[in-house]
This record gives sequence, structure tokens and C-alpha cells, in this order.
Amino acid sequence: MSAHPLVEIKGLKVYFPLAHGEVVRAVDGVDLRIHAGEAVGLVGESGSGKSTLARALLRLLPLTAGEVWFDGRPLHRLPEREMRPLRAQMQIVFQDPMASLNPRMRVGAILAEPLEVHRIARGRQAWEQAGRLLERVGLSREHLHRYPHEFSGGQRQRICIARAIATQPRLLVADEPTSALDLSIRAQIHRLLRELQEELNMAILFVTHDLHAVRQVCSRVEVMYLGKIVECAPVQRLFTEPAHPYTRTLLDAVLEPMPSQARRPRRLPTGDAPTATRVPTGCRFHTRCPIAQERCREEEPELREVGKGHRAACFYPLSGGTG
Amino acid sequence: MSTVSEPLLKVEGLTVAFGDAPPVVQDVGFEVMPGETVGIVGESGSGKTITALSIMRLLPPGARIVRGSIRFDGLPLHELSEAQMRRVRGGDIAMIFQDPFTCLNPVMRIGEQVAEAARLHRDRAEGDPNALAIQMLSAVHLPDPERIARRYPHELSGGQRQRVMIAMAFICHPRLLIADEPSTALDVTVQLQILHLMREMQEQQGTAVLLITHDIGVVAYTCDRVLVMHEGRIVESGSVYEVLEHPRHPYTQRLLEAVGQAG
Repeated sequence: MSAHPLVEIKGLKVYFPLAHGEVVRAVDGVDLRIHAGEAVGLVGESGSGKSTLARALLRLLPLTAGEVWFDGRPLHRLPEREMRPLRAQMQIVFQDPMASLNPRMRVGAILAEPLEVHRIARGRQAWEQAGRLLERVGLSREHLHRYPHEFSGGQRQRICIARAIATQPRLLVADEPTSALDLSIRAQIHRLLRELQEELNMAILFVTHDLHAVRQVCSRVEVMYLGKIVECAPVQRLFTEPAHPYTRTLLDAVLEPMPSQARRPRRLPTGDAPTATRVPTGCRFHTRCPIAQERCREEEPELREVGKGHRAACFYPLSGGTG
Repeated sequence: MSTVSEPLLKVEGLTVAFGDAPPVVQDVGFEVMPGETVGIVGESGSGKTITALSIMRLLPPGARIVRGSIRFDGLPLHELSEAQMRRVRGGDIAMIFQDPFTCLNPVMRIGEQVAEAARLHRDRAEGDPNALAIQMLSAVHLPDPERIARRYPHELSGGQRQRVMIAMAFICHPRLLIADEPSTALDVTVQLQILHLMREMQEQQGTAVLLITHDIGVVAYTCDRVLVMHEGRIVESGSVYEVLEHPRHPYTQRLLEAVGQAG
């Protein structure tokens, strides 16, 4: 791992003002680093700001405050014209492949497009390369002549992945890429992502609400709650020794496929998540936290080291401290 | 009332097809005992939802029951007229769907909608429907039920809307609840709360539940028995412990492997 990260986000804020004066604080002060070739999971429930953070990182959304550095370049102050060549190096795959594939274009044309736009190949050569991309994601060259509707959901997602890797990006943002797919298909797509990450030495930011998925794809996880990162840790450690009570609540809500495990005693989460227009004072999880103290209502905890590569934003972390 | 427990729901040889196409549900048979929770698990296209819709006689246009019978406490649902069926739905048999938003009327206050459910089945829900609605909203642990009753669906969170659906489903003391992916659209922490609430209401009223889901964890957590559906057929069935801990059918094994890879 090089000392200098591929992506470095500092103090990022993305706010959306609403008509009646309220403000949605979707991302509310996030620091995040992704190293070259690293697969990082960004986990959170709906409204946590995880997708907003991912899009802001690619500058698909305007930033309210903070900095985003990509390979040493300050994306937060680059004009769009200078962003364009960088876009080849950072690609995104969305949840719904049908919505991101033009239904009137043949798959070959869909895959040739980024090659031509970024002047990697043209004409027959681009078509040829598109065939190789399809084979790489587990489809075949014959599929070049077909239209998106002729494929299953899993195959369409493979096409989106092929298009995303066409420019050999250094970062792939995958935003809930398998949430709409059946279980058995999900595992296959996760395996494909993992293989591509290793083969192309491509970093992945895997945005998901699915903790199983994170385990299959990532080596490190960042947990987001109401616009902030509350914990980050190597994947195995997060599952065995969560330090933040929110992470513990999330893990406790995962239902195992074996009845004997699924029926273990578990703590029922309390209350509804507050909305990002009314972020609680102090620690933003204190309204639902089973161990909140007076201090948590008043003071906001910063991310602090609780173990090797393990940080949590909690005054009373559940584990760690020894490394 | 008989002393030996008779099945509450008995489905035999159910075969459903769209027009002349090959059946999407083929020769499906199972029973649900009073108070029991039975899960139907399968991937998309397995026929699990079509099976549930056949019981309610809510099949989409073009689909029809080709063969088979559905008996509810002896009553042949497959032979009832639409008018007779309407008395069953929301009364003896209630249903909850994945997306509460599309099931709720967007321009009607929550309280009125819940009361409406009681008004349609006056014989089952005694007392003032409005008072009953407030009582039910409180029973599903919605904070400040009087205030919630005055709200519209879009003013509630996804979890709160699903609680409202559960209040509506249980207001007439159904004997069978069919829940089609009731927690799939929810966040995991909210999912756990909703499954817990369903269990609580079910135990209070002695309701049997037929739970349709693709999520094996949900089945493992809530069901007594499970039917595994694949390509329109039941490929394996039994107690959740038998089927999920010692699967025999290769398809069930594959399905469990796909989840197991997480570990």
C-alpha cells in the first residue's frame, strides 16, 4: 500500500436546502481514505447519506464544504473540463441496471461508447474490445448484437460492470449493485467484483445496506449513520468486535439462515431513525443508543482509534482499546 | 369446534397458468394449521407470490387456476363468487404486502383507513370503528396514536406505514394472515422490529401466518415450517430446523450455500 491514498476525503459536507427553510444534512463532515486497489465497504441504512457521499466523491453532486482528492488532484476545485479525462479513471455501477442501459442500443454499442468517448479505441477495434469485455464479465461475444431487454437482471448488471471497467478505472464505485438481484446471482456478482478488483488493481467503494455483501467483497468497512462515519474497521474485526453501539445494533439485526442461530436472543432496536433534517445534538445515535450517557446528549464524539485500523466515534466503545 | 386440529388452510394440486403458457405454479399442495407460521421461500419467478395470490383469488389478469383446490376451514375458496370472496378478504384472511405505500390511500387520513377496515367487517370488529382504529394503532406501538391517526401516509416513515398495515390486518382478528415480503423494503433494524410486532399480534390473536419471502433469514427467524419453491413447484418442505439445517434437495442446498458464502 502506498503512503499516498488514491482517494482522500476531508471534512466533506453535502447539504440540500428544502423549500421551507429546512436543510437536509445528507453528508455532514466525513473523512475517508481509499488506497489504490483496496475494496472498501460503505454501509448504512436508508437516509444515512452513503449514496450521496459516493456521488459527491465522483463529483456527480455539488459539494457544500470539504475536499475530495483523487490521486493527488483536488476534485473539489477542478473545473468540469478538467474533470472529464479523470472520469475515465473513476466509474460507477448503480442498483438498477435496466435504468442505466439505453434500451435502444445494442450491447456492443453500449460498451464501445466509453472506449470512443475516452479515445481508447474506435470502430471495429472498439467492437473487438467490447467482445473481450463481455467475455471478461462472464458473458459471450455473441451477446454484442443483443439489446438490454434480452438479458436477465444479473446479466444486465454484468454488462454495466463491463462498461464500467472498459476504461480500466482505478476506482469503481458500486452503489447497491446487487440489492435488486436474487440471492444466488448476488454471490456471483460479488465474486466477479472481487476478481476484477485483484486483476485490474482497481479500488472499489462498495455502497450497500447488506452486511453479507460487504463480507463477500470488501476488506475494510466504513459504517455511516445520519451523515457521519461512526466506525471503520477491517471487515473481519467489524463483525467480531464492533465498537460502536450502532454497528452492534446493525449486526444484531442480521438474520442468519440457520434457525438455531437466527433465534438467538437479540436486542430489539428502539425507535425510528431520526431524519437528516433534524439531526440530534451530541452523538447523533444517542436517541436510539442502549448505553447512552449524559455526555452523549451534549458532546459529539470524534472518530478515535480503538484498535489496529479500527476507529469508532463513541465515548463508550464496546470493545477494543487494546488493539 | 373439533378437538383434533384440522388444517385451517389446505391447498391441493394447485396449478396456475397465464393463458395457454406452461403453468407458473404446478401441483402445489400444503397445509397451514391454526396458529402456525409457515414460510414459502423462493427466488423471483419461483411462483411463491402467485401461490399467495391464488389463495386470496387476486391473480393478475390473464392468470387462472387450472386445477386444484384451496380450502379454508372447509370453505372451497376456489369456488367462491367474487362477492363471497370479498367477505373473506380482510376478514377471516388478511394480507400484508411488501410496499405499504401503494396499499394505502394517499389522500385519506391514517385513522380513517384503519377504521374503514373495521367498518367493512362489522360482524368481526365490534364497537366504534374510529375508537377501534386508535386502539389498534396503539397496539402496534405507534407513539401518540391520536396524532398518527390524523396524518396522511406520506407523513410516516416506511416502518410506521408497515405498522399501520399490521394494525389494519389485525383489526378484524383474522384467522390467517398472508404476508408477502412484509419486511423486504425495510432497513434491517426496522425489519426486526416489524417481524417482532407481527409475532406479537399473531400470538395475541392466535392467527396463523403464511409468510412469503426470498429471505431465508426471515424464515429461520419466524417460521415453524417452510416450503421451498423453485420453478413453480415445492421442492422441499418440513420444519425449519430440518429444511434449513439439513437440506436434502439440491436446490435448497444451493440456496443455502449462496447465503452461507457470507460467513
